[in-house]
Amino acid sequence: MKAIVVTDQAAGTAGMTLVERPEPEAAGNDVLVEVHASGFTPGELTWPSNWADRLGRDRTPSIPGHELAGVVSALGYGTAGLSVGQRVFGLTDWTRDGTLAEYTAVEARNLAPLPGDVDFTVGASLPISGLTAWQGLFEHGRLRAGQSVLVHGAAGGVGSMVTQLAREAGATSSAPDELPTGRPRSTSARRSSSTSRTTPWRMSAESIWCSMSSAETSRSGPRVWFGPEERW
Amino acid sequence: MTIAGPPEARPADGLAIDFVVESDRAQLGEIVRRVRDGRVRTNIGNVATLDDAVGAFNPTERVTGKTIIRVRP
Repeated sequence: MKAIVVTDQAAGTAGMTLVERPEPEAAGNDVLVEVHASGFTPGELTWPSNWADRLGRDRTPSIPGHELAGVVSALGYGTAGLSVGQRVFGLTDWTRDGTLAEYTAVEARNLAPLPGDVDFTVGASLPISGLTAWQGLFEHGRLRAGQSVLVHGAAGGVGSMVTQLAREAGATSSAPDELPTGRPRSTSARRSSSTSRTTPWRMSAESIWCSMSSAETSRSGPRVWFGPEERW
Repeated sequence: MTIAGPPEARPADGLAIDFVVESDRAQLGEIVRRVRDGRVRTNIGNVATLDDAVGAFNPTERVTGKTIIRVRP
């Protein structure tokens, strides 16, 4: 099968190459998915999981990209809950070969059914941004209606999802005029941001800071706080 | 976005939570339900084939929105 691989961490995305690789096999509780659409976030090439498995063994050349939408083509031993031919989407294990390939083997529990009227490209665009926003807001931030959420990078992938989900949950979202780093927000971000308002940074008690970047400085804001990356 | 490690500094009167996003079938279902009924929109900036993927991830100009690789037409 055709796949994108990386072998050199220092090379970043410039080190990606298109190669021929053997088709993966579905292990126990896996499904083999015929990939129709794949999503990739450049940050993953800097994460250790892209280069070594959970036992620390080198796993290069590794296939990056961990979001996917596709069709189940085979079931591994003991796999339940999905069937061959089913449309699925999801986020694959960070320490296994990913989705920039014609086929990928994925634990069935990492996938959800993709409704027939949702395009594969849309399905592949949702997992990282959607799950990060969902887990930050509702699992870690315990967001409730009436609370406020400060969203940095509100025009980016995670930020736009945070803004939409927070609004629907009855919270007020706002984007600051200036990042905590002192860098002004880009005009494109300001223009395309769908936050309720922009607001100066304010201190408040009981804030929760959902960290998504190491570039942040020590400030506290509203109850739920999302980090400042505007990258997709 | 995501998983860049713990923040360098912590808020004085708040709680910093560093988390790794994990896949969750029920949450994916909630998200895609909101996409179908229009409550949530996604911003796809560029769609490229697998043959053109390396170029798509090394753009010469800034791309707004997410790049998706359409592996099968």
